[in-house]
Amino acid sequence: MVIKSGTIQFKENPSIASTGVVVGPMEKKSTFAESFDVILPLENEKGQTYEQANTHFIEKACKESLRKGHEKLENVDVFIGGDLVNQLSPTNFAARQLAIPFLGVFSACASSVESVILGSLLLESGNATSVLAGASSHHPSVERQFRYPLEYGTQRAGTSQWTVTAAGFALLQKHAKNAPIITHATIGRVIDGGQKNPLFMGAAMAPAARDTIERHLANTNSRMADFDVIMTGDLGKIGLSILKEMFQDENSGVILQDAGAQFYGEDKFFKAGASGAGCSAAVFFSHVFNQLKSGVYKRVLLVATGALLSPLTFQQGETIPCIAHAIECRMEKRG
Amino acid sequence: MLILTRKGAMNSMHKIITVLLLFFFLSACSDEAVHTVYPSNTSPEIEEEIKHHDSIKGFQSVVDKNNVLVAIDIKRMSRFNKEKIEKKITKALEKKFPDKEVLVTGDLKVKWEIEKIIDQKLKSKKLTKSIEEIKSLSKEET
Amino acid sequence: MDQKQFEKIVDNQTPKTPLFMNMLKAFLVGGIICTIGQLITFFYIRFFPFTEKTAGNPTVATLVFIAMILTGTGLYKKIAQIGGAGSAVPVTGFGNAVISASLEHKTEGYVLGVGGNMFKLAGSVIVFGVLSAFIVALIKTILVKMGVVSW
Repeated sequence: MVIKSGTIQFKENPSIASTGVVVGPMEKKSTFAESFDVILPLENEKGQTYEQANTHFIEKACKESLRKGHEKLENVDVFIGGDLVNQLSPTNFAARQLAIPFLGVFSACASSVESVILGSLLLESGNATSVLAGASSHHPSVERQFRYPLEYGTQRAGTSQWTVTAAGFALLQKHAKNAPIITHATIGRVIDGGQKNPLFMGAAMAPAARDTIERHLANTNSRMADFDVIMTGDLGKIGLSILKEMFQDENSGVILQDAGAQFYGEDKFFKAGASGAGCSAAVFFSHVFNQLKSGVYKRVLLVATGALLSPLTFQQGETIPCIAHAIECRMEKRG
Repeated sequence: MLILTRKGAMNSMHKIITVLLLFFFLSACSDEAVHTVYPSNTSPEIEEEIKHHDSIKGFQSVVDKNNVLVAIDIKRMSRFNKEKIEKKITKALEKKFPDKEVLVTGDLKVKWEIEKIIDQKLKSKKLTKSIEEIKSLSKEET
Repeated sequence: MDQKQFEKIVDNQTPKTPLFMNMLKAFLVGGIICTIGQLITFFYIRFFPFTEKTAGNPTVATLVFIAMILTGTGLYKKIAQIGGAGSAVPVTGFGNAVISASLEHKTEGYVLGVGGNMFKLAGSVIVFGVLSAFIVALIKTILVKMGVVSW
């Protein structure tokens, strides 16, 4: 049900039954490493291209979430996913292997939440009973897509973020037992803050995150303090402090958090933090999901942010338009 | 604790930089000027000519029947005019040795090769041979 | 919130680039690379029949070879993170650009992948190197013809 333009209320309790998160070797250093389901020792196995490895990560994450949710592959009605490589090829190729009806989505790093929103809508309308939704990113293949060759020596600026190698997928079902339910979702608007630096995504994406959070709070008649945490996807450390400064709310300091900023802790090597579609997916579907399940968090707002740029547009001097999608998850009392 | 470790890192960085800078400043060139003619005391004209040039620290030269080879040590900042200085001295020496072929160069290779000749005290045939080798080397373009 | 306010916030939050420190590091790293290059030049002059003029080519080849090994083992990236321009400007940076691009595109085959993309980054170095050499030569030719300088 639409509350107000862009914000959807789900009445049928679509819930996150189980999740599967598969990450690469670099993500072992993550502060969330303990919550990840599988940590693979290599970015790609011998003989695999990086793109094939990305596909492999997606398949593995999907199978992991099915295994944990005790669900068979044949019973999944729809598979929704996205990534950052050319025309979503890794996800498309994974869908070939999984052989489930497939919807590919792209809104850069916001794909993770976008696919969950679409999945929830399918459940809500009764057109599906279980949906696999999520997103992935793979450092070597994404870097090559958007930036320089991997081994090319450039100095990474203090504002730059590290694309994570991770795939996070969630099994969405109606009324799953003991599982966080998705109560609301807000579909983002494309916001352009006039930023041009592709190595400073935090500043570009912060206005989009702010717009979506504000609209969500206004449309659902809630305040920031009503949430245990409002977690953005991959603004990074600098992007997060920009977002905090944009909200003149006394609660913003504690409640506003960012998956990308926390992903690698204080490690200087990763500069401003983590980014990538897999970053928000991995953190939302591991750490946040676990916290919800164990009852530490009762109500959270997950805002995945995506920068809708391509190597073509920023070389042509265009600004970076960004989008942020949000889902509100709640954990009801057991029983 | 965090501030402490950061300070430690800064200190070690500063130390490294100071050591490197010291290294760069102290390792300035300190080679002494040499004035050598081989075979010795045969051609005082060369030394006389070189004396006129302030930009030259020293020279080593080899003279035989048909050739005069002079390797000059040009002062660092005058190296930009290396070719001009070489040409000037060549012209002057050609006047003094009208019947000989003159090669004046600031090239390190030639200097080292001349040093070798002087060290090994080569005579007549062998001397001519290695002089020819040096000449052909310095003619190579790329 | 309007655009100006937002830009002010961004300016406030953007960490300042440590310009002096970066330049010093670039100077040191670039200097060390060039010192190594000079040592290689001396090596070629001393032990092989090369003069100062001709030793340049084997030196460049050797440096590119070293850059290739460093790139392949992933070390050059780390040097570049410290050195910045100091590691990009010497010929090793050129080698790194060529080699990293060819490593990256190996999966697309040797002809269209490696061959086609090898100069993806370094191509512009060649193009503008040739262009600027042409312009400099043109200026010098005109100056010589006018009698201002001699060759």
